[in-house]
Amino acid sequence: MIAYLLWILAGSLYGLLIGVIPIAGVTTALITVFGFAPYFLSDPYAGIVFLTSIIAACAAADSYTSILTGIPGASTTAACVIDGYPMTQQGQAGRALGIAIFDSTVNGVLYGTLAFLLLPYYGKIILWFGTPEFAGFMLMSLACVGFVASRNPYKSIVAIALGLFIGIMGQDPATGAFRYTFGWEYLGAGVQMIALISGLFGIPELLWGLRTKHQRPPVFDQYWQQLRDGMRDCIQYKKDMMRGGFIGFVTGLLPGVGGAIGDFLAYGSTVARHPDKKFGAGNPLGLLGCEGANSAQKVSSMLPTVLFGIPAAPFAAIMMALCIYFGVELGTPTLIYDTDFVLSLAAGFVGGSIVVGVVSVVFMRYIVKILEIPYWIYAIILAVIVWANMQYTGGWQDLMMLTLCGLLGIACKYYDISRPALLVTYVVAERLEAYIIQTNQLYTWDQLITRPLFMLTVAVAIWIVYKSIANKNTGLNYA
Amino acid sequence: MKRLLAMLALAIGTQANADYTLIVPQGPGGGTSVWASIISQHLSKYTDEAVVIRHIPGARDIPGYNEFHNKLRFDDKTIMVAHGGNGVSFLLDKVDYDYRQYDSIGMMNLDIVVGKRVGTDSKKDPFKIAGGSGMEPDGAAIAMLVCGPQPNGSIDRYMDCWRERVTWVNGIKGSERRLGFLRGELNLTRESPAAWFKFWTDKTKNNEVWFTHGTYDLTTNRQVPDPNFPGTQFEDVYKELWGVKPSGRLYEAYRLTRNWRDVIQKSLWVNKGNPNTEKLRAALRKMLADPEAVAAIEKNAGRYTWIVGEDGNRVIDELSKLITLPALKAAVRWNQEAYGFPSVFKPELLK
Repeated sequence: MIAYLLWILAGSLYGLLIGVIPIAGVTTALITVFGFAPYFLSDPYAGIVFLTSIIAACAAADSYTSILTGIPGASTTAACVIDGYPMTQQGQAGRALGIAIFDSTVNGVLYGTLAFLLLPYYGKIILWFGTPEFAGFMLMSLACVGFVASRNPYKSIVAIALGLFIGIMGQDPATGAFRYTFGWEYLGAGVQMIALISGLFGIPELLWGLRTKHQRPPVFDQYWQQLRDGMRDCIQYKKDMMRGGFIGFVTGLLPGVGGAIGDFLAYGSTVARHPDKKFGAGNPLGLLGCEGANSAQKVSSMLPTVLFGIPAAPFAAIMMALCIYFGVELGTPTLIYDTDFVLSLAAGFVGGSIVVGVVSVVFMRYIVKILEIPYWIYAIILAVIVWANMQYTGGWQDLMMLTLCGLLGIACKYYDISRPALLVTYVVAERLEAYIIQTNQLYTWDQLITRPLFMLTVAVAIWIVYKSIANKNTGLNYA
Repeated sequence: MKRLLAMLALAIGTQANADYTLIVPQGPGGGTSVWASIISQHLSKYTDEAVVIRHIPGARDIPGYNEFHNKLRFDDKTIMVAHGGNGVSFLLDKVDYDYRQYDSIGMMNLDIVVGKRVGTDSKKDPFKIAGGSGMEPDGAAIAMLVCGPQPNGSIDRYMDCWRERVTWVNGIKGSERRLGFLRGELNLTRESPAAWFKFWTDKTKNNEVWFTHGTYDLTTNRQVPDPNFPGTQFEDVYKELWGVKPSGRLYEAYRLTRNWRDVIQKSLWVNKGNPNTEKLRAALRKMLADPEAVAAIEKNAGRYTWIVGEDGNRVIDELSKLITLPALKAAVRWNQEAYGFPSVFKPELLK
């Protein structure tokens, strides 16, 4: 028992450490575990506990980086940047972190528990969702672009068009043919998300940090007070917090849908729920709405992996491979009858969420020192971003892609073209196209209109579009 | 804790002294990546230097193999890990690599299982399957089973029947097809043998093996029934259904793509003339005599035979004999028209 608690602690601290490194999220953290994976052959449950606590810790820590540096800790926390980073720039980093810690911990524990209670029933629940419903969820996500686009309609169109174009680069889902690769074989697999996020957010924020060093965010001195304010925000807007977690949880359950769209969907729902408030300029509600989605999505996306061997996100594929190393084959239907296995999963995630919550409260005051570091340290952050990008192929082409995406990010920031809108469109584009093609091949319109969940998702997508047009406060100052 | 520290030290040491590198043409977590991880772990015990993995992912797992061909193969310590999809791409896609320029260290001959819903009538019902690259022979076999013998094996006739009876759904990623089959959107699925045993042996899921492609017999250079799935080889199922043996252009295309995919489904290659070739072959033979290593491989991929050493080169010679003008043209045309794939005819393969 003590040994398992120690593994939770080890996994949480390790996940926290990697999670706070910009761009290097849970996938990077798990890849490095391969080096000593055979150790867990003698006790695979310890390995499961270790892995799930890493995942829980990274889910929380990724947000801290997004809030403090404006560089997403991972793709699933890109929406946290929109209001979280402006809060930091306004001297409210402690409050923002208070929201992140409380929101992540509550949603991690709540949905972590729920996910594992749901495990025996997931096989039946997931059958309610067919290809049309997946397409509907993607439509809803695309509709949320309206909430994260800029106020200038022309610039919004540019952002969406760029996101669509980059998103469909690579292989045509209908034929497998390469398109828009300009003869560059590397582009055949599309633009990698890590390169786009690094380029869109990482490079411009680092450069702007250097350029505007005299305008650094004010260092706050009322750490505990701000932390309490953040937690109070969560309690005051608990419905928004829980809704964000729920949205993240549901999107994570759907293989191929979750990932980076859960937090944007949650963010969009918060904006739609508060039409009288402005977002994108440091509104705690904006951060609160999307933060919990990240933790909830991480845990629920483990369910299709565990039960069907379908990795719902890249980190889940790595987890599957690691588990095979430990001698545990995820996707084996009988696994859910292995009580020790289920308990290990649940204990790792829930325990990891709690440990990270406690550790963060105590040590966050030291983590926020990142705001006071000398400017030359930015070169180290840049080096870490380059390293994270080179985990893909390890070749010069990774650097070339990062450079191109960096130039795009700089241009977007300079010309106020919404980077969040570009990112959401990019994430949704390829999958939405594939789901539409498949729905068209597998269903007729007569069949589609008899599917209530599909009709509901389409109706919600239309409602989101309407709200984003009708809402006079729609549109971000954030680019 | 001491053991963990030792593992960490070993991991760090392994990276630092890595002498043999397995090039895996996909990211961590993929089927071939996991297989390669198991091989590297056990092969390391029998080589004088460590064996580590380098992933070079990319579209259809081609860029990593191209990089091996164009650059990495000239390093004596570099070994390519290839899978069945690479074999099909060699025939039908624009790729740089060419198996005939490498020496085989060893290959694991595997099979693919195509399953269907219980009760579907091969001669009458419409079929829906998630398609993708590497599944070309599965589609051709389905067309022949569903449509039966056609006059002169005419591709045109098969194409008409295919369009009427089979929906080939592109773009369903990896294991998501499993879910599509489970919820009834698809009534056909295909799996590796190990995955079939893992997911579909539960009969309550209303599924059954329709056919398999068989395994390769080195003595006769032909596909023979897979002992793991007796009585299910495509040719046998076809004969039972239609009363004659399969033949014609589509069948030639099928044999071509099937053998290039399945016979070398998991394989290890080095550049011709690599001075370490014999050393690596000897290490692989020792590894395959180690019950622990064999158990780990069989757990991952199923119980299938290996072809080690010079025999692997002979296999490539035999597979090359299947590359005839009519078979290659038929395969390209079928791929383009039935699946919509951008396959290309490569006359240089006929040399």
